[in-house]
Order: sequence, then structure tokens, then C-alpha cells
Amino acid sequence: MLFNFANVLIFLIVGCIFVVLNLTVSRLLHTKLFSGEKNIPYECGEDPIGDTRIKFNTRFYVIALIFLIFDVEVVFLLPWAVVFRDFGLFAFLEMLVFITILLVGLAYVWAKGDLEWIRSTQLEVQSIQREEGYDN
Amino acid sequence: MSPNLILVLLISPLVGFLINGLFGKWLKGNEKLSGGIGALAVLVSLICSISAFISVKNGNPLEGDAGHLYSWIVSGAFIAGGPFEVNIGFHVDALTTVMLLVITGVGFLIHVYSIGYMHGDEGYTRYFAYLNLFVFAMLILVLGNNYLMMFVGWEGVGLCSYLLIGFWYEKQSATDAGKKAFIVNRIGDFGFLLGMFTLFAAFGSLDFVSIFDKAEAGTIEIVFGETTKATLMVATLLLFVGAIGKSAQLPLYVWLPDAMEGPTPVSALIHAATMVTAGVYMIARSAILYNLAETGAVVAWIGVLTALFAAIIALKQNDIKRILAYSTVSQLGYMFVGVGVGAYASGIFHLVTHAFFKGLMFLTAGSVMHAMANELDIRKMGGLRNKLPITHATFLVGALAIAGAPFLSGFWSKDEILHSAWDSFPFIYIIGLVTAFLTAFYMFRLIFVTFYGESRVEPEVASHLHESPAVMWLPLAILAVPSALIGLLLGVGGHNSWFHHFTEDVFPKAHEASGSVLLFMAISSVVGIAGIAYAWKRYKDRAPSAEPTNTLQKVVANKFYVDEVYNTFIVQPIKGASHFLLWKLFDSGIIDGIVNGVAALIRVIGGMLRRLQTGIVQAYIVSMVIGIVLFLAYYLFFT
Amino acid sequence: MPLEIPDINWSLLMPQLVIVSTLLIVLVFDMFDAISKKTLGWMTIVGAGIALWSSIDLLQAGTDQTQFNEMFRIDSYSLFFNIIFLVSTILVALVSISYLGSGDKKQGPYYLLILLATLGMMLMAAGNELIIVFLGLELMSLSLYVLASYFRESPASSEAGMKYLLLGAFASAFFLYGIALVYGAAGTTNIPEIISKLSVGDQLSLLSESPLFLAGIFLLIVGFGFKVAIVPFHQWAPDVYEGAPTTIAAFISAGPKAAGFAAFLTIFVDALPKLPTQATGVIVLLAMLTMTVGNVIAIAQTNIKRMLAYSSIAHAGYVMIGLAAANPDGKSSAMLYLFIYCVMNIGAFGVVIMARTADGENLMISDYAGLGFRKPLLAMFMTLMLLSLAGFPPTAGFVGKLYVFKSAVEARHYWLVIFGAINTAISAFYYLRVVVTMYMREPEEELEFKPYPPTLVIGLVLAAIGILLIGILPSLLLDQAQSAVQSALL
Repeated sequence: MLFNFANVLIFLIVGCIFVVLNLTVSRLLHTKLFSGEKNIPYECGEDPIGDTRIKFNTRFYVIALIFLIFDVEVVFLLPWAVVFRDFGLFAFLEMLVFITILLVGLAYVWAKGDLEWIRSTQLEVQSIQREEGYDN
Repeated sequence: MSPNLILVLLISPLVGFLINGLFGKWLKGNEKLSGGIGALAVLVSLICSISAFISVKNGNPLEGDAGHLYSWIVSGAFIAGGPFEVNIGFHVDALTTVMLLVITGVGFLIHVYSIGYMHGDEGYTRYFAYLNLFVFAMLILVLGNNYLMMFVGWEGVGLCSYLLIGFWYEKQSATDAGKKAFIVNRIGDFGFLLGMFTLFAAFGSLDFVSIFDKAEAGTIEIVFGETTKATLMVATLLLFVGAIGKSAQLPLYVWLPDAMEGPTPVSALIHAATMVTAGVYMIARSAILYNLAETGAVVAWIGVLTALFAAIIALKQNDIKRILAYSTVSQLGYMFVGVGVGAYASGIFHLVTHAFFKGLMFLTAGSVMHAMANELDIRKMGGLRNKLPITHATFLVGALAIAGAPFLSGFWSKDEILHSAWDSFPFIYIIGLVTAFLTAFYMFRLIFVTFYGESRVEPEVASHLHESPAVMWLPLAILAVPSALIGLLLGVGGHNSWFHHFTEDVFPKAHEASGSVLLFMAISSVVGIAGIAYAWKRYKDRAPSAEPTNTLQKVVANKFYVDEVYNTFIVQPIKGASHFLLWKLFDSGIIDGIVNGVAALIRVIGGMLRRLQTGIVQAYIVSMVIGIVLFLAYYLFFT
Repeated sequence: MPLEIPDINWSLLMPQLVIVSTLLIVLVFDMFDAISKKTLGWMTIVGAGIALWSSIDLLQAGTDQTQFNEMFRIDSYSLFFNIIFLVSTILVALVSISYLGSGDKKQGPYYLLILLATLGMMLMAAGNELIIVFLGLELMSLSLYVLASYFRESPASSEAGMKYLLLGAFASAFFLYGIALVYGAAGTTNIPEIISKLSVGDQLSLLSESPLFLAGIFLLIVGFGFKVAIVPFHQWAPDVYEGAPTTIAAFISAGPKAAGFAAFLTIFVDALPKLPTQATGVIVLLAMLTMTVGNVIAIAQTNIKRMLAYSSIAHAGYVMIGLAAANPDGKSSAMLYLFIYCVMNIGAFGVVIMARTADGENLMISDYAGLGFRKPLLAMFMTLMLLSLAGFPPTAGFVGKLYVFKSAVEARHYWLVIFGAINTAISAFYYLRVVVTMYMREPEEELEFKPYPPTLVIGLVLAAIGILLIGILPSLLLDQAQSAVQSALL
């Protein structure tokens, strides 16, 4: 019984070695250039120290949301992959529909320009100039 | 007969009303189209009515469950007297089809006539919209299978009557007349409502079939007095109050003569042929109740007194439409005599013949007015028969019919009523006979003064004298035919006539009137001809004198001062009391005080509560939490 | 343990599937700038129309089944509510087509969100399981938050969306907490099972007195109370209605309220008789408070959208009367009332849109002065809708109120009915004030009105016909509602 956990132990040990090894190799190979931005925890331009009431780029949320959706997709894919053999074609089609819906969503986000970090300012100007949304 | 036929019959005028009412703006330029739509809508109803009539004649009426469409509202069983159901359904039997044919037949001709008569009027489309709406309401009144639907129609026709009397609302007299009609009718309608309440309390239903079945079986809750009969007496008399108002009987007849302010075709349709006969229809429909309650005598006496009273007033009137109006009141009195003495079929038969000849006479009066530039005073007419030959001929037919000239329609129906009255109420018979004489007299006074003798027409008007266009005289000619012949077709044979056979299933069996039919006919004929002859003697070549010569004449010419008496003793005191007591003191002071006070209070509270709506989300959440805590406290601890 | 795929009868899920497909189609077409928003609007109408047709079809077939391991209920009750939602969606889409116009790329997924919200409502009505109800609730709410702030250049609209989101999230938390407590006490989230566990034979079980369970039930009331805007959880409503685009205000006031009540009724009509009396007491108190506060504050309003917002709060109170009655009649009359309410409220908001001038909307009641003769069609629609809201016969509003009151009388809640009647009288005051303003006041300035957009007129004509038809022929709907409740009892 206890012996079965040996697999887990080996997995843990290999995992630790993998991480340490990679970090060491990286440390040996990379060039050493330090700057202010590189020393702060988030390397994306957000200041971690100071007042919490700052203007925050909402684009983070958009990216996070899109990321989250595909994260969840993977969560669904895993159990599906486990039982895929038992259910056959039906399960395949189901998952196809699921992924298609997500892909359509991704395409939509892309088409609407929400994947661009900086959106075309021309559009913004247009929409501000426009009156409230009716044209009749 | 399928209910769908009746639905088409009913909906068609409504569609006409909606088209003319909603799209009047676009139809305004096109009178022919607007009037055509109005007339067509009624024509469709007429065709359906004929079809319904044939069904009924073949022994296929629409009654009871077959006519039930749906229940509008069903209350729970918590109301005393059983669940209150408002049913929508049709009851189409012989009586209904007779009414349908009158309403749609005469109605259609009057619509056609109106196309010409209303030519060039500012409110042309509005007129046809109202007229169609009226037909719709009148159809509901006669088609309904319960008192509530009848009441809806009853109020509907009242509304249309008000709108059409005051049709030329720029005229002060027209709007006053409209209001008068409306208010006087309210008194009657109130009686009708109370009657309905009594019926519901007594029977637990308002459906004709279930009421009549229960009445015959005697399963009636006692609401008033000691006996079921007392309850029925109260109910039938209250309903009769409604009939008095709507059918312009003593003492509520005063609105009808004033109603002549409306366009003349309206007078013909609403205030002669159809709406005013609704009371007669209602009593005939409730024949079983009136027989059980034995309240017919009241109806008959009110009827005959009204007949006499109105006929006397008509003797001295000089306004062509008012003479006809009083004559209508008088003839309605005859109908009530008919239904009052238990001769329901005869009363309804008179309703039919009257609809034709009185409708005809109003339309001819309209034709005269059309030719005379809206002149109403018969003293300014005279000798018109040469200029207006068709109008004259048709008017003559109508007048002969109403005067009871032998073999014309009025002769048969009036004779039947009088004959039926003879056995139980000889006095009523005699008064009726006197009235018949007066009727013949004042009608031919009107004829001789208007159409015979010297022309007293003002020269300016005389130059324009012309016969009406075909669209107007054709309906006159068509109406003249039944006015003359319908009695011969349907009424020959008294209680064995075709009409009695047709309606025998609807009404309780009337007792056979005793005495020789021929003798009664002979008496009636003599009386009628005597009246005509006396009128000929007095008015064949002279106009009525301008001023009444003695006191009696003056009283009659002033309509017994009834309007003045009402004004002095009822209207003014009520107005005064309502002004000072009710309005100034009670209404302004107390009621308004309360209402305004409450309204102001609510406004203040509303204004204060409004402050809570700060727009700040945190405050909202706080108030939510307070609410939650309070309710939770109640919920958990107040057990 | 072998996994089993539940047997799924797809034909029963047609209404939902049609909405999902429409949603995806609209999503795909929305990607292309060349396609006008109007086209998307028509697609929405067609999709909702097909779903409506299939709902009616299923309803007439007398469907009564559950799907997905009893999580999803397709019976006449849920189908009746589907009809309410879809009719509302179609009416709102009709009104929106001209309101939004052809739009541009930045305008975002308006119809998509409407369809998503509709799907959420359908889930709520079909939920046989608290989790499904919550899922539907969130799907609906999240779509509505976005829709409320749809005119993002308008500060009022953004504010509306923000407030709605914050307060809505707050209320959702209560709701979820309620579900958790109920699950903890009852050991299941399946609604019929919970209700059956409340009694053993004729006796009430221990569960019905468990404080944990009662607290959970109370929190559910709070959660629903927020969604259907009953006092004191109503304060978001006026601000959101006022700030949101008028079409969305119409939408939020109609379908979502009906959806909230759909789930509310499912749980509480059957559960209330088995709960301690103060649970009914809470509902009765909430109903009284909601009607009174809604109507009284509505009197003080000068802005017609806010007036309609408070009026819709008051109407939630009337529906609560049917809920408090907690008998089959109460349930069916509440269903009838919700249908009627949705149609007339969308109609009233539609007229507000109709009264637009070139320089925006006329939201002050005083702006309606003199419209009776200047704009007869508009005034006629408005009068009809307001008379129906006030409950005058022969409009549908009268029938709705009558049956709701009737059910409460049968349940012996006489005070509640008296309160309802008094409130109806109060409400007549502010509804008729608008009518009086339209017909009897002279306008202070002549306003240049825009021509009526045809789709708006079509929508209003449909609403008007519906109101009169139900008013004259109530059995058309009432029979459906009653049989839906009856079939649930069997």
C-alpha cells in the first residue's frame, strides 16, 4: 500500500530537480542587466508600492478573463480525455461543439480588437464624437 | 347556427368604427369611402342577421350553452349567492332576430341616407364612426345572453346617443341636450343596476337561461319582503326604472324631445327606431319575470299615461322634429302597454312597425330640412308637396301608418295592443283609443300644414327648394314599403298571425283576447279616420296660430311646463344644494380637504422617502442591510 | 464507477437550443462591420420567434418531464414562463431596432447580451435545482449589468451599470449563502426534494424548524427580493432604469423580474404552507411594504422613467400578493399577472421612446402636455398602457389584479387585499396624472418630434392588441396558467 506512494515521491524528486536544473542553467547562461523596472515584482509597469486607489488598466482584466476561459476549458478537457474511450464519437462531438463555441468567442474578441494592447485611437475618437447611440 | 356567424355580425360595425375612428384623418377627403365603409359594415351585419333569422325560423336558435363563448371573470366561491361569473355569450332566438333585423335593416338604410345627408359636414368621418359604434353597442344589447352584457350595450348606446346628440358641439343647445340625455338616463341606469344586483342576489346568476329556469322552478332566494314574489316585484320594477329612462317614459321622457338637436338620421336611428325601444326589448326578454311578479299593470299604466300625455303635447308643437319626438314617446307608451298587459308579441310587433314608419318619418323630416335649409318650424312651410313629391308621398305613408289607417302596418300592431288591453284593463283601452285619435290628428296637422295649403316659405329659401338626391330618397322609398305592407304580411290574424307564431316559443302564452277582432278593428279604423278628418277640417288651408289663444292651449304648447317644473323643483334645488352644501361645504371643505390632505401627505411622505434615494451605493447597501436585519429579527424571534 | 451519460431528449430543449444557436449566429455576424445592427435585431426576433413557437408547441403537447438528472424541468410551468420571456424579448428587440439604429463596430454586442439574458431567464424558470437557478440568475444578471451600462459615453448609463453590478453582486452573495445553508440543512439542492423533506406524512418534519434551514430560506428571499426589486431591496431599480438605455430599462423591468418570480414561486408557493407562519408573515409584510413604498414614491416623481421604475416596484408588490396566497390560484394568478405586466410595461417604455425629439428624450412628465391632440397615436398608446397599469377594465391590467386579489382573499389574507386595493387607488393618481397632462394641459413649448419608427409602432400595436385581447378574453392565458399549476400538482 505504502509502496504505491513511491511513484509520487519519485515524481516530486524529479520535479524538484527539473526546476533547480533549469534555474541553474538559466543563471549560468543569461546576461546580467539590472534596471529599476526589472527589480520590481510585476514586470508589467504596475507599481506595487503606494496608494491602492490608482487607475488600473482594465485591459488586464480582459486578458485575464480570456485566459481564465481557456484555463477552464483545459479543466474540462482533462476528465473528458480520461473517459473519451468509453463514450466514443458522442463525446468527441460534444467537445467539438464546446471548443467551437469557445473559438467563436475568441474570434469575436479578436475581431473586435480586444486582443490589441493599444486599441486604434481613431475608433475611440469616433465613438466619443457620436451622440448617444441612436440615429433615427 | 354557429356563434361565428353572430361574431361576424357583431364585429363588423366595430371594424367600421375602428376604421372611421382611427383613420378618419386620411378618410376625411373622401366622403364616399368613409360613408361607404360605415354602410358596408352594417350591410354585412344585415346579411348575417338575415341568415340568423332563417336559422331561427328553421328551428335552430342559439341558446344556453351553445351560445356561451367564454367566461370573462369567474370569482371564487366566497361571494354569497355562489361564484360570480361574467359570461360572454349570445342568445339568439326569435325575439333577438326580430331586433337584429330592425337594427341592421333600418340601420343600414339610415347609414346610406346619411351619406347624402351629412355631405360636406366637418365631422363626417366622426359621424360614421359614432354611428357604427352605436350599432355595435345596440347589437351587444340584444345579443347578450345575460343582463350584464345587456347592461354593457345599454350603457354603450347611451354613450353613443350622448355623443351624437351633442354631435355639433359648437352649438350650446346641442351640448346641453346631450348632457340632459346623459343625466336623465343615469337615473334610469341606476335603477337598472339595482335591478341587476337584486336579480343576482335572488338567482346567483345573471344569465337569462339560468334565471328564467330558476324563476319557473321557483328556486329563488328571498331578498326583499316575505315572498319570492316580493323579491321579483322589486327586481322587475327596478329594471323598469331603467326602461323608463332609456325609453323616455313618464316621468323621465324629458330628454327625448331635446335629443332632436342631433343630426336627423341619428334621431331616426337612435331616438325612434332602435335605442329607445331597448326598454321594451328588456321587458319582453324578461317576460317570465314580469309575469311571475305581476308588475305588468304598472308598466301598462305608465305606458298609456305617457302615450296620452305626449300625444297631447304634440298637438301644439310647431317644430317638425319635436312633433315626431313626442309622437315617439307616445308610441313607446303603446309598446309598454303591449308588454305590460302580457301581450309581449304585440308589443314587439308594434316596436317593429314603429321602427319602420317612425324611422321613415324622421328621414323625410330630414329631407324637408335638407330642402328648406334646416328650417324646422312648420309654420314657415306649407304647400311643399309639389316641390318635394317623393318626400311628401313617403311621409304620407308613414303618417297613415302611425295614424292607424286601415291595413297599413301601424293599424295592425296598435289594434293588437289595444285589443289585448281591453279584457284586463278597459280604462287603458279607452285612454289608448283617445290617444289614437290624437295621434291621427296631430300627425295630419303636421302633414297638412307642411305639405298642403299656401306656401309660407320665405322667398329666399323657396328659390332653393329641391328634392333630395337619390342616395337620400331611395332609402325613403325602400322604408315606405314595409311601413305600408309589413302589417299585412306579418300581422293579419291577431293572435294567430305569422308574427305571433314566430315568437311563440319566446314569450309566455298570453291569454286569448276576447271579443270580435273585426269589431275592434272597425273601432280603431273609425277613430283613426276621424282624427285625420278633424285635422283636415282645421288645418287644410291654414297655419296654426302663432300664439296660443287660451290658457289650456298655452299650457299644452309649453309642454305642461314639465321642464320648468323639473328645473324649479329638482334641478335648481339640487344645483343649489350641491353648490352650497355639497360642493362648497362637503366637497370642497371636507372631501377635498381629506383627499387633498391625504394626497399632500402622501406627497410629503413620498418626497421624504425620495430623499432616501441618495444615489450613493453605500447608502443603498446600508439600507438593504438594515432591512435584512429587521426582517430577520422578526422572522427568527417573533414566533 | 462507470460514468453514464444521461439520456437527453433534445427535442424538449428546443427553446433553449434555438436561443443558443441564435446567440452564436448573432455573435458570428456581429464580427463583420458591414452587417447592420438592424439585421442582428431581426435575427434576434426570428430566433426568439422560433423559440416561442416551439415553447407553445411543447406546451400544447402537455410536456411534463425533467432532463439532466432532474436538474432541468420542462413542464407547462417553465414553458409558460418561456413564453413570457420570449414575448418580452421580441417586443424589446422590436423597440430596440429603431432605437439603436444601424450602430457601429464599437457599439458592442447588444442583441447578443439580450439573448444571453433571455437564456439565463429560461434556465431560472426551468431550474429544478437551486444550482441551476443560480446559474441562470448569474447568466441573466451579468448580461444585464453590461446592458445597463451600454451607452458607455453616457455617464448616467455607466453609473447605472456600475451600481447594478455592485448591488447585484452583493445580493447574489446572499442568495448563494442561502443556497449553502439550505443545502447544509436539507442535504440536497433539488427543490422538490427539499420541499418533500419538510414534511413526513401529514406532520411537519424537524427540518421545517431547523434554524439553519430557516436562515437559508430567508437569505433566498433576500436574493430574490433584490432581483425582483421589492422593498427594501429595491433601491437599485430607479437609478438603473433612469440611467440605462430606455429599451434596456424596459427589458430589465420585464423579463428578469418575471424570471426572478418564476424561481421565487417555484420554491415558495409549495414551501410556504410547510414553513412556520412567520415566513408567510415576512412575505406579506414585504408585499405590503413594496406596494406602498413603490406607489407613494412614484407620486413624487417628475421623471417618467423614474415613475415607471417605482411603478414597477409596486407591481412586484402585487405579484407578491399572489405569492403570499401560496395556493394554486395564487401561483397561476401571479403567472398571469407577470405576463400582463411585462407586456404593458414594455409598452409604456416604448411610448417613452416614441416621444423622442431631435435633441434627445423627453423624460419629464410635463413634456407630455398637450400630446393628446398633437400626437393622438402616441397619446392613445400611452393612455392604454397607463390605464392597464392602473388596472382599469377592460384592459389586461384589471384582469391581472382581479385574479391576484381573488387568490389572496381565498387564502384569507384580507388585510393584504385591502392594502392592494388602497394602493391601486394611489397608483391611479400618478398614472392618470400623465393622461391628464397629455389631454388637458397646454405645452409650454412646442416640441419637434421625430417621426415614429415603424418597428416601434409595430411593437406597440402588438402590445396594445395583447393588452386588450387579454382584458377582453382573459381565459386565453388564464387557462394555460391554471393548467400549468394543476399539472404540477398532480
